Amino acid sequence: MLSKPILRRDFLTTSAGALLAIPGLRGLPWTMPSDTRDLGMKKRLIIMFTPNGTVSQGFWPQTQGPDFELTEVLQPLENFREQTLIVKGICNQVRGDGDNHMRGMSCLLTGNELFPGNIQGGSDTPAGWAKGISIDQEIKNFLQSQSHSQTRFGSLEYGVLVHHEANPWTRMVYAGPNQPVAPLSDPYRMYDKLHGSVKDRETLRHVLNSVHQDFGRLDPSQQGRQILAANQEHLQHIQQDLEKTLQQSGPTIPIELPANVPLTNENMPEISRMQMDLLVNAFANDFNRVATLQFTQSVGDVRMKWLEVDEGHHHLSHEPDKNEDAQNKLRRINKWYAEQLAYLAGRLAATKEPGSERSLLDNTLIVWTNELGHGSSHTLQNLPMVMLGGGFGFEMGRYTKVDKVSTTRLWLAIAHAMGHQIDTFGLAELCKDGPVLL
Amino acid sequence: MRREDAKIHNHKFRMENRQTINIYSQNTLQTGFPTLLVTFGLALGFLSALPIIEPSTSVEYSIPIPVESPQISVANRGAQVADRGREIYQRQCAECHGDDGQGTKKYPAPFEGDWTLTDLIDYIDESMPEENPSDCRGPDAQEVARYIFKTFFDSGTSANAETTGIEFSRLTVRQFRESVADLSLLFGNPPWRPEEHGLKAHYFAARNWTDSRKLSEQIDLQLDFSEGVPHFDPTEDYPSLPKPEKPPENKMNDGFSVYWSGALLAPKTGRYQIIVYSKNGFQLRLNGGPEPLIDRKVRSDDIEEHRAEIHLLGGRAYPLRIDFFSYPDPPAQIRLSWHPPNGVEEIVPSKYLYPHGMSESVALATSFPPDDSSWGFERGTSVSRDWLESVTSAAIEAADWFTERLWNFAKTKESAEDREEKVAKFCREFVQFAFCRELSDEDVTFFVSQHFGEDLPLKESAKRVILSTLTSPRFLYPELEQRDQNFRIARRLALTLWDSIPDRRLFELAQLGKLASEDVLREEIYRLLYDPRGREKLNTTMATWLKLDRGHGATRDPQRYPGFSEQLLVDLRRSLDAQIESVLWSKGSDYRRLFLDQEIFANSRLAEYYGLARQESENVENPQVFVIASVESQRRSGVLTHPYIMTSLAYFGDSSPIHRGVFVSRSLLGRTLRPPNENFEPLTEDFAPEMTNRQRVEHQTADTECMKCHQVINPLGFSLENFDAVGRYRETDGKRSIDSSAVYESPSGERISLNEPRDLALLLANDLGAQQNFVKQVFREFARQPIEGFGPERLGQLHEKFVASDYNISELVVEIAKLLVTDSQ
Repeated sequence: MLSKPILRRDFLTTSAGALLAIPGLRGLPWTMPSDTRDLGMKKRLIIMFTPNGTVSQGFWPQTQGPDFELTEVLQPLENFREQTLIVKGICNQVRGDGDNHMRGMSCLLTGNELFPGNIQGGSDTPAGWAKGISIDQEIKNFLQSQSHSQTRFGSLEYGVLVHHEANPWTRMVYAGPNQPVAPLSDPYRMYDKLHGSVKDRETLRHVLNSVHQDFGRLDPSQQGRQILAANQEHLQHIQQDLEKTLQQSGPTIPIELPANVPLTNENMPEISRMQMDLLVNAFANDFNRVATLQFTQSVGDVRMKWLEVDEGHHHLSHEPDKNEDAQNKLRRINKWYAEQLAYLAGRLAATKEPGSERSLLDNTLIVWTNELGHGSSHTLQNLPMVMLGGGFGFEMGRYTKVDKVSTTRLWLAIAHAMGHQIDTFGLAELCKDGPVLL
Repeated sequence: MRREDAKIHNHKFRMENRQTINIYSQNTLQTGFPTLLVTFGLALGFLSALPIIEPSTSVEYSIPIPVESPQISVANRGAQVADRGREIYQRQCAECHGDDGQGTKKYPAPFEGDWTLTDLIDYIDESMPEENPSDCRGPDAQEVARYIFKTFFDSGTSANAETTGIEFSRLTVRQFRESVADLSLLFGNPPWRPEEHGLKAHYFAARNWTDSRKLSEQIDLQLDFSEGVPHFDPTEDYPSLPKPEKPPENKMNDGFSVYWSGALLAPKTGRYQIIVYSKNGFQLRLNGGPEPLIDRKVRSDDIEEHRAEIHLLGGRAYPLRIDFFSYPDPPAQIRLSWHPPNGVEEIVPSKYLYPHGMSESVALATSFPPDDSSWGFERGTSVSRDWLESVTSAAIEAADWFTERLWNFAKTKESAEDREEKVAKFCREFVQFAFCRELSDEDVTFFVSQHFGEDLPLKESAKRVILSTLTSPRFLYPELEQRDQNFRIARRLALTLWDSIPDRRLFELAQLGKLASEDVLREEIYRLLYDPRGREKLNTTMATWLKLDRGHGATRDPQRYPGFSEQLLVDLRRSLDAQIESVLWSKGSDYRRLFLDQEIFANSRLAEYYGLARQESENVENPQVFVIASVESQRRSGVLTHPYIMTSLAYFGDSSPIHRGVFVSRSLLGRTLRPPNENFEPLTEDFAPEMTNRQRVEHQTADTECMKCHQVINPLGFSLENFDAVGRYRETDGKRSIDSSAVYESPSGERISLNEPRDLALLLANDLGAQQNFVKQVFREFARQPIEGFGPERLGQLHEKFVASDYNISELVVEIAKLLVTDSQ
């Protein structure tokens, strides 16, 4: 370690123990307790994915530190500048079977290799699913294992127009080796998942009332009076219990979705908004502490006609950098994604944590990432990483560069920030230097 | 005349007497004499075929003539019964049983147990008071039994347990599940049984189903391709086939794919494990649904075993499709196995696969509390909170299933303009079929329209209609709805023969008013009986009568019975099922053949284990192939001596003459036995190593008290002692030779020598009590009501027709169905 140039953060870590005692010093992520109940603080994590790499020109700022420029793509984040940390230099260093898109996607959050398999992209060796759990699920399991951070779902996986086909290009969340978790791309089904049990009870109330009414319409001289009377009595008891449950089920914060939005390419902006509204609603109800939001998938080829981009996103991403028209369109596409992030952050900022003066955003860390670095070269180096929200110990409001650091070390740092003290994550050999210091 | 008849043949009269017991129908006894005489003649004819009939001198029944007509008015019946019954009890029973049924020093056991009224009447009539059973017969036995039952036994589990008349009933659990499944099939294709077996296979020399690259279309009997699937050759370039238009992206093998389509037949209701062994990519879909049951399109890692569970209803076939991909790497291998309820894991036998598609149907997985079966068959005569909650949960499960497919079933699209109209139409049909009648305008408003509204999504409206229909008393109590004669016939026919609702054809016939015609009715009865659902019901009835499920899971001492395995037991059950079905669905459908056929269906494993010589046939070495083997004439005969039944009536280490004797006397001969005075552990070999099993049983039951029943039980059991605990024929028990000679004494006192298993088979085939018991059993499984509720003469009439049809079982079912649909009650 000493042979390396001593960076600011490295210096801090070597003397962390001593510095902890100094009043007023911001806590470092790995020293934070897993729960800060005493401060009325819950910790939430959102990982937002957008595909096909980014544009080097127009995404990365020039100036490191707090005085960074908001580039064209990042412009929409202006209101959250102080809560934003942009990191360059994070690399997906997992090798093995599969093409860059596949590994980019399925190794991104797992930091693990792919199993040998039958899915082939380009001329690379075919491969299957990832060999390990993804970081969001790892943190979810940790939070669910402790009574004070347990929630109904633990985590929720949102998708926006994710292709209805399970393969390593469409799955980034893994519950374990060979256990991809499908994102839910239909906001109406997500709504049912969140609020369906209450809705079902209300449906049942209507129905049982009508059955009860029907008993009254039967001929009273009917044969089988005894058994029918018994049936009716049981029905009444069930109705009474149902009323009680409905009264006790507590004040969930409801949400209204626009009706009948077909899940098509054209409706992507509306679907995206519905999913983000649901995401914020679920956080406000404390249904989960971890969420992923996946826009399409690796190689996703949506046509953003509302931005006057008629070509598919993946197709454009292969255009050489000197194709200025393509670059321009790619910047618009990525800027649109930044707008989605800003919308999400805005909704979280505008929503109070129940029973607290803090906003949901203060208690949330959003990580916006991608399966590739620079789009046209399909590289796994310099993945775009934008962190936004309550820092949980990270110093926000900056642009910083690190030198070819494995994703696994970033996930370790985030796990520690969430209170989960693990030594390695994914491939152990990619975690040698511990959590990355930002 | 009655009196004289009875004198002629005591035995016959006993049976006649039994029918008259405990009937409070308003009908007078109408059994005609010609009927009786015919029945007699036939019965005697068969009896004379028995090896030895010794007229008994020891038992002489007095002639039990009903001294009073059972035309007692309902109003004062209760009081009369109570008075008369109490009076008889005090006079004849209290001395031993105590004034309050608590028992006395002489006979300390209090009244308890799960006796039914019918059992009690029969038992008292036949055996009480012990010192002189003839003191309390016929109506006396009936009155006192009613008094005892009501005072000491009836725990109130049944709403009107005091009668054995027809009870107003709800759908049983089975009926509920079957009805919901058939409601879903109204919107698909009705079930059918193709003659062919196996799955239809489509092989392609391409990654996808490109027609120009099709290699073959064929039937694969089963999927057992551990050595590689057919047509796949990794070295072959298939030059004869045109190249795909779009060249594959990779430079390696172009790929190879297959899809298998067809259906899977579930032999039994319950959870099935479906297991696929393959390292290649594949997807398996069973019974439709939005997602595959097993999705392994992405091959990942060298995992070979893939399992999933699914709940299926017995006797139904479900659509099955397997898509299989082998690229880019060989070899291409796949095996399709299952673990059915009460079965073993095995390659899915071709018998349970069909190469033709079926419609998907609801297979409710919601669990229910069991139905009352204290009368020996499932009845829907009581309701509980638990039951209603299960009904509600199951209705939700079904409603979700339907709404998921709503646009399909309503024949519309989410975006279509007429969608509301179409969904409302679907809902009307659903209610109409569930209630089995046409709907009035008021009905449509109440059951359908009220659930629709501007602010309600159509799926929510449909869900409410389905939920309220399936929890409605009009659906749950099939006799509740006031229907015209035609719809009543349709409803009862479907309930009787399918335990379900009418299909479209039956419903339409009712709409057209055609079911009142006897010809149409008869045709429909046959159609329903020979439908897979009707066949399933009759097959199940046989299994219930023979108590076949009790053999499930039997294990045997590996020291004494090496090689006896779970697999062998499953093979045995299949062998027995095949034997029963071969009789049921043959032309004559002859009851007697069940006991007299001297052949066994055996596969290679059974043939080897039991030393059976099978007929010549193809593929005899394949354990899935069951071939007929003749058995030695006197050694085995019919289903009773089938090794499955002999195994199910045995202990871990030895045969059980008592279980066998009780089974034969109670379940086959229809005799009533009281429960043992106390529970006994069977004596083990250690008790007296020099004794045979038979001798130990004789020793243990020698007590006078025991012998009251064991004089019936033991000889029947001993006559089967040649069969060991796995049903193999044996001459010795240890070092001692087997003594299977026995003399059975019939209720009328005839003494019948049973020297060989064949003798017992002849007795069962020809005994009047056994035949009537069979008729009774079949009746109650189809009616879910006791036959006594339909009038005292019914059993005799049905039996008479049974005899006249040469004991044709399917004809018996037809007669029962006719009787049930035309009954005015």
